[in-house]
Amino acid sequence: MGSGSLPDRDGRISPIPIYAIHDSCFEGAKVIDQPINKRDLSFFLAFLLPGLILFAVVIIVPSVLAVQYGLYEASGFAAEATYVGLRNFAEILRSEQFWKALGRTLVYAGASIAGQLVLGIAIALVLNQAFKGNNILRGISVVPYIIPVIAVTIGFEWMLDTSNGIVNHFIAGLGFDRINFFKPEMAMFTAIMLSVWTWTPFVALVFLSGLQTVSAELYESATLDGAGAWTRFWKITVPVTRDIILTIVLLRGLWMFNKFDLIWLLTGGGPLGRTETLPVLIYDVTFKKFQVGYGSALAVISLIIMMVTMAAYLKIFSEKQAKRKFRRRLQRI
Amino acid sequence: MKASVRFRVFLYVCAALILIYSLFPIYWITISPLRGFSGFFQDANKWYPTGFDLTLFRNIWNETNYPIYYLNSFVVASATTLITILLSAMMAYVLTRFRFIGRSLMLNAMLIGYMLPPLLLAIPMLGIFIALGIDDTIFALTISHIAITLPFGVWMLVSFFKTIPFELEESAWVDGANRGRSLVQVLIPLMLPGIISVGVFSFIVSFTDYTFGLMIVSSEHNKTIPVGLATIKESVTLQRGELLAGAAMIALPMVVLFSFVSKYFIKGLVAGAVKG
Repeated sequence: MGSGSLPDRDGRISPIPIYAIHDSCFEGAKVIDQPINKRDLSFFLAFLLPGLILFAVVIIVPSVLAVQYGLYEASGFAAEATYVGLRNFAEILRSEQFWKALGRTLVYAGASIAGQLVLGIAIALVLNQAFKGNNILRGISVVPYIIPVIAVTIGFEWMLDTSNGIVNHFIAGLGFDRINFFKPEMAMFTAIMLSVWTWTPFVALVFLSGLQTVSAELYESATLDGAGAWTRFWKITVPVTRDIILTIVLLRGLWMFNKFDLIWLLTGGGPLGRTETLPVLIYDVTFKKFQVGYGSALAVISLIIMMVTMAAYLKIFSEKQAKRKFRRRLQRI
Repeated sequence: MKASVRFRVFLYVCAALILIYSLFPIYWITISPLRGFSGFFQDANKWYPTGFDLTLFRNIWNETNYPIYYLNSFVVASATTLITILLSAMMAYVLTRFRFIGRSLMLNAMLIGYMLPPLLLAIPMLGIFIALGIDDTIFALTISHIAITLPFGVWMLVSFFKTIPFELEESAWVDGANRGRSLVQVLIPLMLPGIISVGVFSFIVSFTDYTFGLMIVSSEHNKTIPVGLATIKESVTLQRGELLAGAAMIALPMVVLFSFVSKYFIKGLVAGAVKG
């Protein structure tokens, strides 16, 4: 790659709040776009169409089909389907199993995001300090994120084993009773704990990139004013990195709400349905009971719930921000 | 001065804790099956490695379809990576270099597509694959992985292309290069870090995927490691030790491979959206 004259050719990308991308995508960029002239047309199509067609096949068509499937009743993927209108949707909203699964999904997503956020921010604050081996530690701290979930569940099932697990050995060594991490009352907690372990690096590294945008001068002057570390964190770090925190919560919320593999591999939704979240229920209904229409309707409903939650979340926080700006402007007058 | 020393000690303690947090499970997954049949349970409480017995590793490799799963995983992940890089670079180029109706719509569709629940897509996708007669193939599995990697790749590379000044390309044109040539000779070298980031991301997503694999492939000879290992886990013929050996054999290579490219992965992660 040699050295060039372009300052940011190494691609240092500043983290962009994902909900802001679509508005600002072409703002501020040097004008690099031009109308398509005839000579370029074949080039244009050859570059755009393959990706676009694939995108249609894997995303657009399936999304439309999912809604359509939800209007039918079929006992398998190859079976004859009968049109039932909105009956699947009505049935879902009446079923107790759905509401319970929704509740569990919110508990699972909420608790694991909270855990990831606290731990991830703590890790980022450490990694943001200058010390020997900092760069290596940054690389190492991503490891939990890239380990396949199947290896995570197999590994932790062994580490948390009641009689032979190293964790229980440690607990017993401290003089406490051994804990059965997989009994009905504990299963959800264990699933959350594993989710926090695996997905915290995302929060840590994205937050770290935000921390690097906070100017050191701000901290220095605050320290001179006698602000302690705790005050500096709440008065400087949090307000400055607010957008990044919002984005992290949004993205992690989205992904934890849809998380299927970890719970399915760890508990399969059990014991006694204690960890049956919406994605697990959707899989179970569609691929174990072969109620494809009902399963699709469930998937559509969970998507709607997710989108409404997301929209509400964005509205609440962007409004708060607007109000604050307004108040600040008032004070200036 | 004293406070500063105390702070440094505190810092290194924290760093050590992060190290343990990130690596201890991997360490444990690796040293436990290395204890072999006799030591696996007997030494389960010892913190340090107590043996170097590869029997459990050999067992899972020889007595199950593990080698086939391994090969499939590499084939699917490599194909996903190549296709994603190629198509997303082409799309990103067009999306940043031309003005046309529907461009914003396309970008927004990519973003929304990226956020759709995997299960919502997987169910109809399986329906489509059955209709096309390609269900239960690693080809179909590759296509399904592209549903995740392509939107990310396009977004990532669009943000990269925007940082490269148009003048560079223009001067290549003045020198007589056409669009294709200036792309290959001027832009691609500059884009390399971004392209590698997208590649690393695609490979990891595809290699570690369980959800799509579970739904789309069902025959033994088409399974990837996560799906295959889960099948082994459900069967009762193998013991826990072998299962851990299997987990170590997928986790360790990932960590080693990753150590060479972590810089690029972190870049992608920070760029806003590595799914996980």
